[in-house]
Formats: sequence, C-alpha cells, structure tokens
Amino acid sequence: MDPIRTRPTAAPAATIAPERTDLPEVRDRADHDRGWNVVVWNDPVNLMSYVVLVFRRIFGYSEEKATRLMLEVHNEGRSIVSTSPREKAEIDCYTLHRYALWATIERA
Amino acid sequence: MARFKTWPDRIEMRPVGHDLVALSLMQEVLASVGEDPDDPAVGRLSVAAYPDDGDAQSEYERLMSPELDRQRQGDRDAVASVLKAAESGTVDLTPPEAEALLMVVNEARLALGARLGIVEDGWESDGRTASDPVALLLRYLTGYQDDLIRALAEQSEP
Repeated sequence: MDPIRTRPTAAPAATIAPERTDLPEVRDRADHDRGWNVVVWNDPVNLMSYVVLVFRRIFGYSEEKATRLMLEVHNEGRSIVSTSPREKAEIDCYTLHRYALWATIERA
Repeated sequence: MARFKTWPDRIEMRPVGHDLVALSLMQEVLASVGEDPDDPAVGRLSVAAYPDDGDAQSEYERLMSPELDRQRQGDRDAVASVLKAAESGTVDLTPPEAEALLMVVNEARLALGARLGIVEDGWESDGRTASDPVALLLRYLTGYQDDLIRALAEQSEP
C-alpha cells in the first residue's frame, strides 16, 4: 500500500465485459532516428504494487524489472520505461494513460 | 472474510463491510469529474503526453483522447454492471471485468487525491484529513484496490 510521489509540476446489461480491442490511430511520421522515450513520473496516490502490475501488463516485464523501474520512479521522480519508434511510444503512453499513470513522451 | 478469491480463469468478488457503499460513492465521484471547471481531478485524469510541445500534444489528443474516453466509459459501464450483480452477493469477474474494476478504482482514487491536494507521500497518516469524508473514501478504496491487486498478481503467477 506504499504510495509513490508525484510529479511536482502541473501537466498535464447482461454483457458486462468492457470492449478494449481497438487502439487509436497513430501519427504517420518518419521519426525513427533516435527513438522516443516513454517516461513515467512519480505520483503519491498510485500504489507501488499497482505500478508494478501495470508495467508487467503493458510491457511484459519480469517482476524484478518492473519492480526496479517502479522504485526508480519512486526514488528518482521518474523512469524511462521504454524506448521505441514514435508510433510505438505513443501507443505505450496511451496504454499507460489508460491505467492513469502519469506518462509522457520525449526524444531519446 | 476475503474480498477476492483467485481462480485460474476468474476472480471471485465477495463484497464485505462497506464495499458496495464505497464503490457506489466511487461511481458518483467519477461521474462528477469535470462538472466544476476548476476540478483538479480533470487534469490528473488527462495527462499530457507532450507537456512541452503544444503542437505534438494537440495532435496526440486528436488521435488518442476520443478512444481513451470511450474505453474509460466502457470500463465504468462494465463496473456498474458488476456492482449491480454484486448487490445479490458474490460475483465472478472475468479477466476484462477485473481489469476494468482495477482501472476504475484507480481513476477514482486519483480524482480524490487531486481534490485533496495530495502532492507527496505521507497522506495516509496525515491527521488533517483523517475525518474528511473525501479522505475516508480514498483510504477505503486504497485498501480495496490493494486487495484486488493482490488477487490479480496471484492470478498472474505461474
């Protein structure tokens, strides 16, 4: 139940199973040179266990890697959780937003 | 009595204590987000992907925001159906339903945290908010979410 801290700056019927198949269209850009980082920022309300679970769900990371990244977020204020072409980075960021994690994108 | 019991293909949800009341209040919290234009919960649930690049952010929002809104509403509808069924007792959650419940509870907790102005650790033991109804709901949902996470993590174990 341990929380992690927040990013200090303002940014930003019968069938009950949710539909969650379509991902949004991504931009068509040729920004593949250096890649794009997806960054997760600290938040005091999100539970550490939740962040680890989300990292495992989205990226398929091991428990160990997900925990290491979560602790980096907790201790350093942020962590780069993936680096990829822009389209993939935007999908990853979108999925993190879907879980309501504080995620941003920056050039690698 | 445990709130959740993990099975390979489902999670059994057994409402205990004030769970159904708290989860009903949770739904009201989420339904109210944005009613007040100064509601800080709006900003917390609408994080900018490109906070330092207005053009990129505008394009990202154009592409992503409608789908995010649609999926979040789908989660809330799914949770509403689960809670209606839970009024009669134990409910078996499919994996998508459990995931929707996880995300909806988290959204509500973040909205409550934003309204309480929580910006650093230690809020759980902050005496200022000990008797605040908003803080009490946040604490209750925190315990609830923690139990759900444990159940989901157990299900993920090989």
